[in-house]
Amino acid sequence: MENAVVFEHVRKYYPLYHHITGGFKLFLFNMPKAIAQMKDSKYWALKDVSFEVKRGEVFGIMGSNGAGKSTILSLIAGVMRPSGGKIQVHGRIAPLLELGAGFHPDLTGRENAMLNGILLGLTKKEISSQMNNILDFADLGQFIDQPVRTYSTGMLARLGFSVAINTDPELLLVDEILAVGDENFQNKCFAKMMEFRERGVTIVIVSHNRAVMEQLCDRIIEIKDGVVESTVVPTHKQSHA
Amino acid sequence: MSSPKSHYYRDLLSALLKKEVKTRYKNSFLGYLWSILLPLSQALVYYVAFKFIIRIQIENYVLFLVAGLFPWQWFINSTQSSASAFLVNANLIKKTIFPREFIVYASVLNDMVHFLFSLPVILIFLLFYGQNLHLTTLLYLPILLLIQLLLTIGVALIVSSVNVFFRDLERIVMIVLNIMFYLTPIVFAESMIPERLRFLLYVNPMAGLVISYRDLFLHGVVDWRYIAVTGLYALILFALGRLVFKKLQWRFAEVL
Repeated sequence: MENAVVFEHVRKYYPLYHHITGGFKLFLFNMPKAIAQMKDSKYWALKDVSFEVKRGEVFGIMGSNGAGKSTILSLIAGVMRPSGGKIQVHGRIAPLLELGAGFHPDLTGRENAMLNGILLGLTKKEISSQMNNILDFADLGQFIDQPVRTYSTGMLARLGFSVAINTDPELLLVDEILAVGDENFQNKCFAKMMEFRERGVTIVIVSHNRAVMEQLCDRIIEIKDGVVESTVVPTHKQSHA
Repeated sequence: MSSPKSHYYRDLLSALLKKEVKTRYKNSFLGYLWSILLPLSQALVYYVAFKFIIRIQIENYVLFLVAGLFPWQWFINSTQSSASAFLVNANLIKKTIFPREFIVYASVLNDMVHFLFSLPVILIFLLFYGQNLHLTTLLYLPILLLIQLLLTIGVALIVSSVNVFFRDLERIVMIVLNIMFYLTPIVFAESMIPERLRFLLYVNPMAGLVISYRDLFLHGVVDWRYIAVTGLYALILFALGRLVFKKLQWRFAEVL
């Protein structure tokens, strides 16, 4: 198992759901038309995407808005299925949730950390044994036992990031996470990712910040109109090769 | 990682259940009161309306009412809150792959716990009307609980999954529940239904269940015909709910 992720001619379309999110009533009254529409109106987010991410690699995916970057991450995470092609993913995945998405505002930081860890696939026992690491990295002081609705966005991001990285991931999925938090926190995340990389954790990052991506990644693909337009190896990495 | 899957599922269910208990009603004691006060206030209204104004001929009418209203309350609470079950967890569903059906399981279980806590109220009314708790009640109760659990989970899975796509299903469900309430012998006895409309008792999945609960609480007996019908509905709805959920779950992340 050399590769952590393999995409082979992956295609993905989204049915355009506008005619059904209009509601059940509209759908029922226009049923034949609605069904016919559902069959032809597809949006092809990925047309033919193939790439491999090697184990231990920091792999970047770039592209403008709507190019299909996030679709690729969703497919790797396994929350969607491709419309065509083959996907293989090896190892335990930790997705970095945006700004503590999935936290419940009325639960405390500690309770949310436990719940989030379980939703990410760990048992209670495994999280309990990691709890000190989680709290250390999040660095929330006495706020950890306050409801998270009292947290600032930076604090939410810290806690969310902290839970995700303490799930002992083999594959880290990062979606524009570097855009949040203060500089201090960003440096901390950056350092943590470097540490992961030393340990051989595979990291897939999606972003459109070229400067940051070139600094972090071993390899970057650019997605345009649902296909891989180019593969780039950042210049400072080339010398090592 | 080495821990078996069933261990993980247990942790997942208990964590989601804990979240439900802690967040649905912010104060747990008031939460308990709320879950009892609503059906009790309904019982009071129906008591006045049907006993004093319409003069319905049923003995121990308040006891009769609560014995049907409490299980009904569990059913509609679960069905109504299931409509938004996946919608409010959109962020989680788009990013992580935990088994989503557990959100619904936890929600229905939470309502069942509230129902269990309301049982002492039924006991109080039993004693108030000078009746005794039958031992057979405790014996057969788990059967009814299991039937209602399967039935309610089935309905909740259908409503929660379909509502991701058709968001006005929620409103349709409210209307259907309202009609179902009056097609279920809760404020009246099944014996009052005219012969030619009796078949409705077998069309409505909840009718046999409510009748069974009431026979059990009031008289300590059950009619196995009703149990069989409602049990069959429970199995069908549970299987159907799982099927609908399994078909649709891969599309959740696309629409949410």
